[in-house]
Amino acid sequence: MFSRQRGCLVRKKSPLAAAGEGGLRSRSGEGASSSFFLLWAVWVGLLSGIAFPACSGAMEAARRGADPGETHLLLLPPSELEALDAPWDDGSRLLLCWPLQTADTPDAKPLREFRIFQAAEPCGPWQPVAAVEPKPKDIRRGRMEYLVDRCEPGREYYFRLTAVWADGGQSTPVMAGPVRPVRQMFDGSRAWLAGFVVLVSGLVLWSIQRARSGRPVHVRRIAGLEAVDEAIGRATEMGRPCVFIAGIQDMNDIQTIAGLTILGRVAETSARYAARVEVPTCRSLVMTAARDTVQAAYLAAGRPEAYRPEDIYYVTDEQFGYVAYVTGQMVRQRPAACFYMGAFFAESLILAETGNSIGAIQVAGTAMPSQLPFFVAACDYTLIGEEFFAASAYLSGQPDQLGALWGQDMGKLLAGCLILVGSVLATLAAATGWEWLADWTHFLQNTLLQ
Amino acid sequence: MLEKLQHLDRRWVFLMMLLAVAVPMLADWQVPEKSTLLVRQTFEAIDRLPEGSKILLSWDWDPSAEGELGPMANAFVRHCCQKKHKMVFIALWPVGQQLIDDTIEKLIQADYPHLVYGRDYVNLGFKPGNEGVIKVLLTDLRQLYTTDARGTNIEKIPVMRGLNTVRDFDLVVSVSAGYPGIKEWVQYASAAYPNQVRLITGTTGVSAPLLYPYIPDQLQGMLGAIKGAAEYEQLLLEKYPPTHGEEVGKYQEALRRMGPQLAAHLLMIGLIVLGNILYFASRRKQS
Amino acid sequence: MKRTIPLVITFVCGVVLLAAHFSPYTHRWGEAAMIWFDILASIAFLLGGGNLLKVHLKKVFAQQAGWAYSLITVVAFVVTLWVGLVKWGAPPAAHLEHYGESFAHVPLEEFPFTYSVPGQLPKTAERPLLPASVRAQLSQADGQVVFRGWLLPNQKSDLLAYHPTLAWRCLVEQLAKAAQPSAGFRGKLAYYPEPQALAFRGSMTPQERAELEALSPSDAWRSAVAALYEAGQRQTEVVAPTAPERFTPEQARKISPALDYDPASRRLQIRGPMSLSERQALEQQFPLARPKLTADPALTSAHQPESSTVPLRPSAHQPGTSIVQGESSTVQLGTANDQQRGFADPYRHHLWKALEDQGPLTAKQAEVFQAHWERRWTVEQLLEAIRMAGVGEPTEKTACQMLAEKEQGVADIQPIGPLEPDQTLRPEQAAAIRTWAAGPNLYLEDLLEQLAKTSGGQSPGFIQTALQNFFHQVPTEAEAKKTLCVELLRAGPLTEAQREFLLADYRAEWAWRTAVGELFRQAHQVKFPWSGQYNAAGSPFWWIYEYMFKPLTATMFALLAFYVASAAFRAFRAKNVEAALLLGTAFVVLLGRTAAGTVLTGWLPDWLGWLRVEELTVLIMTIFNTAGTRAIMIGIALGIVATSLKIILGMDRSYLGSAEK
Repeated sequence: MFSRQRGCLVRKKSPLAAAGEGGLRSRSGEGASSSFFLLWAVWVGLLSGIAFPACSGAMEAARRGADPGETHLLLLPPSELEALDAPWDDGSRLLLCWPLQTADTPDAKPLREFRIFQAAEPCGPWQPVAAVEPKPKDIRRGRMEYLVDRCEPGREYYFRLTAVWADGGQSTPVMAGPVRPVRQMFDGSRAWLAGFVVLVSGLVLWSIQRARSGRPVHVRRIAGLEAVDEAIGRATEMGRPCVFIAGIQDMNDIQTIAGLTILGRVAETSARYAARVEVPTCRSLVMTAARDTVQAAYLAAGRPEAYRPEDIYYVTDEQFGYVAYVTGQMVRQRPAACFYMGAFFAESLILAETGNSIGAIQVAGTAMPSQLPFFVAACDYTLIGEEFFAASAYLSGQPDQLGALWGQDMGKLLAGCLILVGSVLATLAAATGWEWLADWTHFLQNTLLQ
Repeated sequence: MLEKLQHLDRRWVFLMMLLAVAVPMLADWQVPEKSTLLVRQTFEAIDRLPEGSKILLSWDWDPSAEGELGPMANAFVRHCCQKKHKMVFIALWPVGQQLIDDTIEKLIQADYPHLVYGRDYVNLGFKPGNEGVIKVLLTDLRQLYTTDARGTNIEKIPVMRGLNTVRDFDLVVSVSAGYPGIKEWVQYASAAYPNQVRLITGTTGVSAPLLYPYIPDQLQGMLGAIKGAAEYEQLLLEKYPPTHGEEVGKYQEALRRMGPQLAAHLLMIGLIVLGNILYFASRRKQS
Repeated sequence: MKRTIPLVITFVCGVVLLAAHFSPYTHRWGEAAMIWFDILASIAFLLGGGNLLKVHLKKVFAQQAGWAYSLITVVAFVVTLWVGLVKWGAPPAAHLEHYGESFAHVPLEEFPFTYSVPGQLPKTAERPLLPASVRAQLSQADGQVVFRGWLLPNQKSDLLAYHPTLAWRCLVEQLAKAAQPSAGFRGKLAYYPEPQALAFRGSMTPQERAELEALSPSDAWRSAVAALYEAGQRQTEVVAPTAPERFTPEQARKISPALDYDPASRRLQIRGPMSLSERQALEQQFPLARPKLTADPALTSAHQPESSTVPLRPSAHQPGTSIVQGESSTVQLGTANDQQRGFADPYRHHLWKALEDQGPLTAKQAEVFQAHWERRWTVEQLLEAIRMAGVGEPTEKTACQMLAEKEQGVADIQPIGPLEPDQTLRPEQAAAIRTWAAGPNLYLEDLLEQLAKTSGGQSPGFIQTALQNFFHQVPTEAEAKKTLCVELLRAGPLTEAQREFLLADYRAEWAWRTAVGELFRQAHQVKFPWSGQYNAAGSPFWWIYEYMFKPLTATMFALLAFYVASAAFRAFRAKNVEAALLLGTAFVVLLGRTAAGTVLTGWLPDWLGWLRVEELTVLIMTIFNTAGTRAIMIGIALGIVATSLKIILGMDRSYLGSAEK
């Protein structure tokens, strides 16, 4: 009934292989979600990986070289210092501003650095805060700013600024204060992140709504999830249990929750096929959650009497202790199907190889990039990254859950466009040396995507 | 024969791996290492500094990373001792302070007894705060380090004279196993003062790929994994051969570990090739 | 309802955590949510532990397949839990035990002494509460800041850090000065607010008891004083199998009036608790390691062949005596020829000769001996340490001094005052140190006496401090000989006589230190028996961790090497173009991480250097590998966003086990 594909790196389920086999034949709503995007993202990543490091150095040199001779500029001593509460922060920062005036008078001297001091009272004692040098951009603006952090909200601060000249002399200090940092309701440094969160969440919700309204959503076949039924069927035929491992992290890890989601489906199928599924857990809280999940699954399958709570048990929190127990159990009990769905670390290969040695069919899913190669090499089916998170929607088959996948894909499209735009901007900035391009790239890199 | 090999019991493979690792280790088989450009750059970063230069060494690791980072840490210290550089040790990880004490006791005091604590090197110890420590070091390290790890007032320590910020050092060396580590040094020190803070690192194999983008602007050199450490040890042994009294073994640890690594990797390649030969042979037989 | 409550909790916690990331006002809510999760997980552990016992015990009693493993699991679980929970064998935390002090309970509200300083407690919106260490003791009344108890150094630091103004810090300094025991009891008496304990250091005399009882008529106070007196009178004694050569009853009383020693029965006694400094002083009754004496240049003008010195008779060597004070009159500290030739280190020569006389030594051992001697401290290092200690420190102004300057209108207050003047070592003091270092037995108190004579009374404080700090790191001569024995054994064999010669002194020293340690332990009043670390070095839990858990974990981790090999043999097949590319890449990286890659492509000219295996490896890891990883991680991140959103909004309830929407 079931022919298992084994020992094959490429025919297993790597997206690259799936791409080669026909993942490119995507239908509407399907294309971006899959290997096509993955390929596209890989090539864009390659482009950024090759172009950006090569260009960033040139770009930075272009920026620095744009204003030759700034170190020889003669500056007047600072005439005033302004201290303000930094806007939209958590109350730990203050903004200092002072004018930069170049001149050709005896007062003006070449600058080494500005030294900033702070005190709780206007008479001192003064503690050094920073020594800063103006950038070409500051000199062009005629103004310099410095953000003082690690301040305490509500406390009074006084600041003092001194210019240290190239010959070692110092200017008369200018003072500012008192100023109190105030905690705002919103952290402005995360505004763009908030915007992206709203955008992506909005896309997901919109796509769910769209799916509920009846628009069909087509999702490509995920071989690993298709094989769940067959794996459990094989176990039933052979009269051997299934083993489900929900990772080694606790319930606060989203991968564990995703794993338990799949456990619900696996348990329901097992209940219908009258197969036994054993769930050794690495965390006590996961054990209690898994028991609820499995019990509800058996109830939904109409076989509540078949539920055995002793099949879901806690082993140990310790990583290698857990895997030692589980592999021992696998070797003794020889389950016919093994499911590894969750967060794994170094023990992934030990589990997969042990399962392989006993001849079990293995389906794995994880969002740990470092463990994926081991699962791909040793398991029959692997859910890679987002496929793992899509499993719940895929297995339920419900339109609104599948609609969320579409929204996810739109988010990926957005990410891809940003990568492309950034790579092109960085390349052009380095090639042309135009400062406005460098500024846009800098804005994209350090503000928008910070 | 083909059948037999195709269904080879995995325990034979395990045995081969055991022999591949154990035999070179027991036979102390070492292979000469040829240095790559990145390791040579790292070596030059310390070597071309004039004698007596001030080096800040940050031990950002713990004993669990000793396999990869222990040998490179020893190599850095030996290099500095040979060049008679002044060494200032700090730690961003709590256990780092004990590792510095170990380094001082087992390397400097054992093999370079003419170096005097306080005059030629000092241990400033561990300070909590992760990247916050680096930020303070940028402006005024005496604000954080008022004494060394033994409680001596920093003003009384000759090697600390004239060193007020991280920019006063000629070189910063971070031996880094994770967070906080070299990435924080790059982000907060090197990026804040480009061309004023010279930075090299020794890091684990897992972290090394993440740091290549910073080379050579923010990071002037990097030793990645035990291979980088072995190449560095080789360069060091060639340029500064062991003299009378030095216990050389501790400076060849990475080289010693490369023997088993080479054997294991060659075994892996051999197994893959054999597997593919068997695969193609069986496919031809079927067709 | 059963499904609704979890959904509501999920929604609320999800929204709170999201808000906490963006709104500074809600940061603490997010932290609280995480703490609640940790508490739940801890409680769930009880369920897990109970479940573990139930499952495995059932298997054992039913003798199901694998019951032996279950039995081992149960036994290991119970043993580890027991030794960890009761902290079996774990000593109490050193920083909480207050060695050398006796405790007696006095509730804070019955503590009879309060101190007040005019001023106001600062109140800020961000810090409505006083520091925890003083909260129960500090209050405000009628324009005065009132403190009940005696201010400890850590409390003073906390108060100074509480508010930055000079007025507040000056108030704290005044309070710290006022809130102290009377002059006669400073350094002896203390009050610790957390355990609410009155503490007395050492043994209380009857006169001190009377003075203390007179301070307050309170019953709680008097009974506490009585308890402290009784604790200070408790006699503890041990029998020391060996004793240092110079240790006498007078020496013991010099260390502490509560100490006594009977040379006849070798009983060491103490009245009351022993402090750490008393213990240290008792243990340091042995001569220090000899230095490496460098040649005097004035004596090196004539080089003559080395003459042999008369060797020591090894059988006459007694433990506890220095080798150079050998019983034989034939012992010489070096011939005149040696000194003329500048060999001003005759002890080294004698030590070597003594070893040679008791057995052969190899060339390697000779190298080791020389290396060992090179590591010994030198007089120059000691003089340098004293010089460093004499460097003038900048004086720090007090807050009250700075406040006074502020009131005088000083605009720019400096926290640092003028540098203290440098203190230097006088030539006669340096000469005294050199003479002492060349002597037969090096006792620190002998050096201090000599320096006091040169200084006309007492040696300067900076010299004493420098000497204490320096010699704290120098081993005793017996320890140095033991270290030498270990190093020589690594380099070659030693005869029984040689080993005995090197170790006998250390054995005696060890026995004495053990006796002192036992006396310290018996005399100590344990305050917090369960305050130590459950995994303290030497405890059974530590033993289980070091010698069972760690090797087992390392073994499991090492299995990966074998499994990678078997996976490579079984699974890596070049079935199509992509797989072949992948395998080629794997070969390049595997070879690039070893010397084999360098050998294979090292011959390539520089202009083709990028094709060298090691360079290709870097290229693959930094460009291709990073690109692929980034792509996967972007997909994962978006998957997490979508999944989290569905869970928070209750759209996906499959983790609850329900298939309904």
